[in-house]
Amino acid sequence: MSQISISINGTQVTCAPNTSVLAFLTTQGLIQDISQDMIQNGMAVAKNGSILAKPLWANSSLQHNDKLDVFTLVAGG
Amino acid sequence: MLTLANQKFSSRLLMGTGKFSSPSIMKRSVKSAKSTMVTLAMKRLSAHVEHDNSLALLRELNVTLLPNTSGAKNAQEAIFAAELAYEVLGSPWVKLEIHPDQQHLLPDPIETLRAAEVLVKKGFNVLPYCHADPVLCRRLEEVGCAAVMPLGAPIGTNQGLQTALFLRIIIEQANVPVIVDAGIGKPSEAMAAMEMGADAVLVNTAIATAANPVAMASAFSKAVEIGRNAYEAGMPNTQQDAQPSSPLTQFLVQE
Repeated sequence: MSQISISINGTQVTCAPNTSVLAFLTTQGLIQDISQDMIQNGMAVAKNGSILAKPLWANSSLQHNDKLDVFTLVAGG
Repeated sequence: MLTLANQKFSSRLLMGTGKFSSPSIMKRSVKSAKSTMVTLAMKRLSAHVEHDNSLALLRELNVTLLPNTSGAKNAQEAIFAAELAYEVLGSPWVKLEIHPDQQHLLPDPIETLRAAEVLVKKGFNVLPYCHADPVLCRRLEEVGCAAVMPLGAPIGTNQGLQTALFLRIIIEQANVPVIVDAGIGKPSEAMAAMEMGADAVLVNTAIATAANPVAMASAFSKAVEIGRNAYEAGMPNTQQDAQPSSPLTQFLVQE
């Protein structure tokens, strides 16, 4: 399989097999600067329904049909 | 000083950050309100789309960020939202908010209590948004919530302290801080809640949708401070019958 299919916040996207979550998020424009302090990037990621802690993003590789949900905090009461 | 979960806050006015016309007006309003704790909401990020920069702006202020679980329809979703917020901020604060009914946005008491119990055990500082129900507030306190946040009126209605009778009972019996949340539409209503003995109020819509939010934030800040000062001064009792404030000697009548 040359490309795998990933669902990100409900949208289907393709990427190379074994792409790391960190690399994928960068490609998707969700992380502008990977040198930035990861705690400060204001994001949370769930992979297949379970929260994936930030230190694991670089080493967690994506498989076909994985489902990613990416969240941040915005203005709200 | 307001104390929540052993942490001190210089302001008794908590602010919600939604509904402002821009993030920069929101930031200026928080400064003007002198709030030291402000709420945020969880949202899914869209790829290749510029997202709301409120979080970055608020990080520039010396305020505690209080993520809410708005959007959660049951305990399980709220717990997940709280854990996501912890992942974003690395902080244990959470405003627990579960309102499955989209029309009135009234909090589900059963799901809220269930979620509170789990989140407290996980180590969160849980501030639950709830109805002004004294029995529920006591139960939320018993499971270890850091405060209770009973509503004055439904979210965003600006209808003031419709639940005043029950807020008084909650304040009288609570052993944790009482933060009146939702419905406060005017500074006078925030002041009334503080005079009643509430430990704090949370205001969002009334500030965000004012013609001049920055000025309104300042007005709320003063009202909350005055209300608290009055409460600490000891509010006098009300009487049915007139009580003279002057001597009633008949000095005008010649003897």
